Amino acid sequence: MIDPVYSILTRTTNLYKDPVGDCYRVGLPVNANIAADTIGRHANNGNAERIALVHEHRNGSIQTYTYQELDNLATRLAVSLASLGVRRGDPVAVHTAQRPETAIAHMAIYKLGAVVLTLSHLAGPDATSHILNDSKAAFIITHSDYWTPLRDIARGFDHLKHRIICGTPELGEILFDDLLSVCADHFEPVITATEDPAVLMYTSGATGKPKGVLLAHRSAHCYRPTLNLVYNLQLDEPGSIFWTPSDWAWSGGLFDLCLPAWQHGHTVVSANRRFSANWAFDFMARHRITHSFMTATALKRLAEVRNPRTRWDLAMRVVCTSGESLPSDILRWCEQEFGIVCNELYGLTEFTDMIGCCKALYPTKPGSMGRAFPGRHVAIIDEEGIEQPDGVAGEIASRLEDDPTLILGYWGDLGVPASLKDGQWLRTGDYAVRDQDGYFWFKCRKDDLIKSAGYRIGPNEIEDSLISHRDVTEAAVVGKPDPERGTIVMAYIRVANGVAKNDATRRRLQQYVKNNLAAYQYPRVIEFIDAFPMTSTGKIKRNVLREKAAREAGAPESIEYQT
Amino acid sequence: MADPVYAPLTELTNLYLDASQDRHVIGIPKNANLAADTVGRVAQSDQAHHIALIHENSDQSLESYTFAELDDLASRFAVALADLGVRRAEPVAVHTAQSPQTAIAHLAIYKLGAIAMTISHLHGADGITHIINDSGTRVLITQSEFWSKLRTACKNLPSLEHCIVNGTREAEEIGFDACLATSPAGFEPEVTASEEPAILMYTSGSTGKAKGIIHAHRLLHAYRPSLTLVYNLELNHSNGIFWTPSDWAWLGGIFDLVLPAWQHGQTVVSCNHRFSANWAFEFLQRHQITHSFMAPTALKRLAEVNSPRAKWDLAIRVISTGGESLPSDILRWAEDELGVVCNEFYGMTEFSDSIGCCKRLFPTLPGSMGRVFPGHQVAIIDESGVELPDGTVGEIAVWAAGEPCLFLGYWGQPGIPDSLHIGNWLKSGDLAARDQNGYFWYKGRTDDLINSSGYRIGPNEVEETLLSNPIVAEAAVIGKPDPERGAIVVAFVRLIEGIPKDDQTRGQLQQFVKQNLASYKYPRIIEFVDEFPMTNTGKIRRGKLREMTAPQIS
Repeated sequence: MIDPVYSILTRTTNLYKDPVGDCYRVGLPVNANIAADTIGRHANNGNAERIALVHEHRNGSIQTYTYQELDNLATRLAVSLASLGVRRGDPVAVHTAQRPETAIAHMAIYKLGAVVLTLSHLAGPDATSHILNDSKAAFIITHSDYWTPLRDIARGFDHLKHRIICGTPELGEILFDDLLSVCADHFEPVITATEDPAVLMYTSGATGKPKGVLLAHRSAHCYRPTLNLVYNLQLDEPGSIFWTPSDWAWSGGLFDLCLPAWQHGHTVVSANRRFSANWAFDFMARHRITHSFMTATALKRLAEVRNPRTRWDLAMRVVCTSGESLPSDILRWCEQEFGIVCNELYGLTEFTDMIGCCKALYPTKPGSMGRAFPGRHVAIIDEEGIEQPDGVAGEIASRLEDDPTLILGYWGDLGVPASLKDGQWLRTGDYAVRDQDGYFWFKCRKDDLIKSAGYRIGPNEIEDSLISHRDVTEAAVVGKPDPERGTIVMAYIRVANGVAKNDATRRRLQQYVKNNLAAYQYPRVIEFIDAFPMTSTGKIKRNVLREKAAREAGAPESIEYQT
Repeated sequence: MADPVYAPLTELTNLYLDASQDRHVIGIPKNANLAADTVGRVAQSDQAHHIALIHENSDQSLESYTFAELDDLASRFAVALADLGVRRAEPVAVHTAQSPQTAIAHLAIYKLGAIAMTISHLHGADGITHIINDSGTRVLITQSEFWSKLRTACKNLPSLEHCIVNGTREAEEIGFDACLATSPAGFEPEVTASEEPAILMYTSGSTGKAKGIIHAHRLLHAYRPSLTLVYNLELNHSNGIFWTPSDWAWLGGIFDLVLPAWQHGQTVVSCNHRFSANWAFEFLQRHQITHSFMAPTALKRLAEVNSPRAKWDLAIRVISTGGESLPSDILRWAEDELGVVCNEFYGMTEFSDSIGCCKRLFPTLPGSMGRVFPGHQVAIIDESGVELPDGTVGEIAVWAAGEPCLFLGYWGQPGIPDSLHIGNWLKSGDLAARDQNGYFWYKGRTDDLINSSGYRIGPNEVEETLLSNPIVAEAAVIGKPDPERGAIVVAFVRLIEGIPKDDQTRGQLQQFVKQNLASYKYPRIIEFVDEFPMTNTGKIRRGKLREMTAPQIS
């Protein structure tokens, strides 16, 4: 289907209309390389002297790099990495958080046709160990701040041969800066095909060990139309300054901010500070940040500050958000108090950018995920894979044949992931409903779906309702096994300071939900807790709470959640 | 730099501006399939009942097929082929000329993710034997009128397991129509990546055995901006009627006409009649053809008729042409007498569509090949791969990285052979010079380059000049090794009837070239001939002419 609202993208991006005229497609070049298509491109055109990166050190000092400088440094590092033995297709771990060395390392590795293994400095020793061993990476580029605590267990990294250290190396390790002093006059970057591997990312899966997700060089191109939308059609506007509080090791920080900014010749600002609302507002004001990518968790933290524009002189115009659903009150705060456009973007690591918002083209409905993005076919399907009409809840799916964003596969198991493919569809595991205007409304993860007395209840809207009550700071809703109803709705709640954790509060909140939602949706059980189990990307681990609820009910979990 | 003249294509086609805004890129979808992207897609749209194909039989009776019908027949045929064990990436020979069977076979093969191997009905037994044996083909789809003459001659085909014959067959062969009786219920076409092989064509190389050129499913998307240009931005206009006299087994027939027409939901007309000017004009009139692809050879034949519009009621509007250079007098005839837009474009089977004309967007200069088409990087280079400035004769070269029309390799040796490369440039073997306005002027094959006393002379310009003299019917120019000058210019000339083949005529033609071209380019030797050695695609075999001069040298 052609949604004419997107026709502007056929003039400004690689989105085009199929000859029959019944769908949009995302056009890809036959050769692509993330370095050549971002920093490399502008280092060789009229933008060579533009600032590509501004880094703020912890002491507040500032370091800047033009496109040409960054490209030169990357070329030098590429020469050194090649002489250390890095070859096309080899994974090289980059474990340096947000700093210039990360940018240089990424570009150098792409220039060699090797694969960047993004390794978050937030990953614990077990996860780091698993990732390095599973990927069989022989090279790591790290920082002594993050490497020092790992040195003791590093002997267990069976495949790791070369450790390149920013900061203070020990004997046997290589100083990063030393690799930048080589002559690189005769270096020719490898020409990579669009489908060649570029980035390996381990997903912080809620269950099981993290899996390596392999992305192709096409990534810089296949996200272009959708990123143009979530940046509100401003990606081509000169003078924009980009920053994200998200880790560059995560697809949000890398693919949704750094790479598109560099692809379009903009300035990216980096820093490595612990996130707090006050620090972030200071930072945004100081660097005149205009565009950002932030998770809903980060936005929630910012939203604790009322009317920030009265205290800070902010240049911020657009924030793109993704990774979890944005509560409607946070969106309202963004628009009314922060004074920005906040466009949500929905996807998985494996295939993404399916649904989202673009306020420049259509109104944002608070609480909605947005509309289907162009260039592929996104639908709501039932268990049998049949497309559902508007208004009927089902699983969000993307048609395999048309999806331009699908990963190359899992590391060691390439090809379309069998766990996602179902006939012609890629299943997301997310339940949603599409309204008659084409807006999608998230219900819950398939695993989180609560089947109570014949009703299929998504926890999100109950959580949203609870959070909108002034007594509630945080809430998570799960199903609790119940002999009578199969499952009952249970809420874990952190109440605001000074609110009593008693039955009166329970009754007040239950009544509140009954008033705002359907009667069957109110939480029959409410438990007050002080802290939630969180993932490393700041999401509540509902599965931990679900297991806790099941344990307390004395029922094995598998009975309750089979679908 | 992105040429702003092509800006309209970014809205009309899959051409887009790179994010750095300084060049055009041809967008290829991640997955592509020549069946799904043409008849398959239209069959699922509201144009499903539009006519996809009209075939005129030899008795002038007509068969017509809607997109939905053609798609259904192709699914049935795919089921039958799958029953014969045809699998993804396996070549299946199609030897059915211009016909509904060819259309059905191609689409069915693509639906299976197999490779359509085209065999021209003009090939003899030796040619077919080489192609089938080199490719190791198991299944041949043929037509009894061609196969009956070849069946006994093609004895030594060890790989061939199944012959599907349209028309009268032998007992052990399979009838084409029987393959359409299977039910397509439950058949799901394969999803193919853009880079997967789709078509295998053996080139009629003038030297050595024919080589199998493999192209990917992406090719149709890669051609779309260029074809939109040569069809003068009318490919997406409704109610076009497309026909080509070219064999569908060649790139020109299938990729420059049939598949792009179907990609855009247009009607194609097919016929297998022997080509003649009168027949072609009758045909164009009878079917009210609006758009055509014709080789310059075909246009030359048509151009023997003056003012055809006075005799026939023609709907023809645009003719795209390629495969060899179009003489300027033929272009003038096409524009002034036939009253069409005639857009030439340039390429070879391995990589093409990189230079051409689009009268709608920029003027056509008679004798010029046109300008660089968007999404391609083209230069004139010298023997060492260095780019030459405007005005200098050199080899046409295409930058390999990012070239979307590039083939996947030769059959049996995947990858682009080193012999085509000089650095990152792909060598075309064709000589040209680019003028300051960006127009390219063809100067002959690199093999045909004549290095005479330090001058680089392309044979084409000398031929063009000779042809512009009214007493010359045909001309071919080669270089003959010469101890003093390195090489000298030799012309083979067919005179029009009644002109004496004597030294006076020689002197007259030599003088004519000196005056109209340059004194150093005139042919020092002129040989009069009655006919030329030709390839089966209608090109003069210059190699043969060089051989003809060789005994005199030794």
